[in-house]
Amino acid sequence: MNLASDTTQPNVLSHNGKPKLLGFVCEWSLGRTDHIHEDGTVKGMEHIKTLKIPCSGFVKTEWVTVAFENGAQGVFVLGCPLGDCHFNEGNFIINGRLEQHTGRMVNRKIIDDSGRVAELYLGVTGNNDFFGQLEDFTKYIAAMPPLVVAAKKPRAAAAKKE
Amino acid sequence: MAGYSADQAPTSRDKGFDAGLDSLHKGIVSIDKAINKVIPEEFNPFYYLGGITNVLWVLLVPSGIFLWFYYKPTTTEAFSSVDYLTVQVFFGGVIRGIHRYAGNGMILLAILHMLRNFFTDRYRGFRDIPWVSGVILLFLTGFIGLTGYLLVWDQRALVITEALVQILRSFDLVIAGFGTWLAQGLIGGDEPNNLTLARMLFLHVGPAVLVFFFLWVHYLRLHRPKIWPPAFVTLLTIGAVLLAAGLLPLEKTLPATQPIAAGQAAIVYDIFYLLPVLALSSISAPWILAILLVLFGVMFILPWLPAKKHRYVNVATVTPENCTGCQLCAIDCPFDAIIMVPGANPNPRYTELAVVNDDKCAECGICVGACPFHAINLPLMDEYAIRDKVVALLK
Repeated sequence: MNLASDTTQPNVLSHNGKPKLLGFVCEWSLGRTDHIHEDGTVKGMEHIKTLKIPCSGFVKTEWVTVAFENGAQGVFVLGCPLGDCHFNEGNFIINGRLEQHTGRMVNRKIIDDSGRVAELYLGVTGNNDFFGQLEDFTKYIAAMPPLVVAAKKPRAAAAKKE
Repeated sequence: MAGYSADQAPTSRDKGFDAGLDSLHKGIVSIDKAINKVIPEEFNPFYYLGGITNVLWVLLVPSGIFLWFYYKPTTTEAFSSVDYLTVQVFFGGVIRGIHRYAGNGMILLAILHMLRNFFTDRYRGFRDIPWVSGVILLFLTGFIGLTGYLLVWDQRALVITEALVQILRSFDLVIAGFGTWLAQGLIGGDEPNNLTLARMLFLHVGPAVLVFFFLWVHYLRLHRPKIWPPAFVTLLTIGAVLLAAGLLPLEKTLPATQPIAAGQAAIVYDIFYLLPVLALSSISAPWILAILLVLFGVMFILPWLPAKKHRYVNVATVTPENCTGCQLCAIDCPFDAIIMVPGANPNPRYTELAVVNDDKCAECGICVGACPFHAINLPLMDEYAIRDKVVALLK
């Protein structure tokens, strides 16, 4: 298996043989619990890497595209239950943004199936549902052919530090 | 890597008092979860406690105006006018029931709304103004409920008035004569007389105007406050009040002008907010006053008590060179913290510049997700750093 780099094709499987998944986890929903390792890996699910964010509405849709371009087989955003966002409407906002952006990525042939982007809405008591839904998501992604995005599009350069 | 790292991110609460709050939070949220299994989560009444309070308030105003047409604010005629309204007027009893049950419901829902926001940690930092105005609103609704109950002028109202005078007089222990002055001002003399109920009527309707003012203050910091719940929840609320008013007629009481009969002074279950006034049989008046003052005092200063998370660490910052003045961040900000300033953009092609109001910023980053031009950022969670982290995690 080749090592991922900017020029070669990224490897699509994690070392436990399951498709690589990336999650953005709202720290108000499930981020307070200890089901995620310090380095962002979900406990017992080595193929799922997560990033802790202050609100699901923080997710830039660009990051989702970047994740797919770098070998992610699926991306999920975890927020509080709809209507109960700590910041009032962050989960509704990301819901709308992802709906648009997923369709756009399908149209641009970045992803083959809109099901590769998932939204989970779980409160602080949703720990059991968390693992169950991630299990389902993994099975759904594993049943699909591996996704390799052909070309990376140039992105805006990092901001200049003064 | 600059920017985001685990130790810079706001920490979770893990020990002592905070852990206790956390478990209460989980307890409250597990009620939501049970409801979410039955009805869609967008319609969960627990997400609209403040909105339901508003629905009840809207029921209270017109029903109160109806009652006011029939009410005579004198000690001799008040009870008979209420009695006439209840028995003789077409649907009068039902409308009085709506006013009574909607009022009780409003106080109950306001308390639930407050508890929920307390246990889900929604009172600190950028939420200080909503919290404090909410405490004032809670006090006002309780006070309006109290003066409203006295208007009926039955034997229970008389007992409550006497208890109220006794509690107010305990201010004399702090400043000599002040409590007596307050009590005299409230009932218009040493004993209840014909001025008393006119004052109560004013103190029932006057603070209701203040409620509108403080509701405006309550919403000041929110861009799109959930003022009104979804139709399903609204209809559920109105239906519950109408059902209660139709099926549970108000209890028969005796006028205050007669000698007080046994059992008439007891507080019925639905006017629970008057219980502190009638606790006088077991606790002395100064204690009740002290407990109420401490309770409201603590609630008042709660947002400014020291918290683990420091404020102003991660407020959104704008890169003016990148801003195109497109307003997307200002539209999406739930707290109205971004102002579009005309003429401030360094690029002459664009008319407006986004400027963040640090006091209102909740550090949620919704504006970062909105901006397609990399012009707004959370300093501790730099968007480029997160993009690099995404790439690194997938290596």
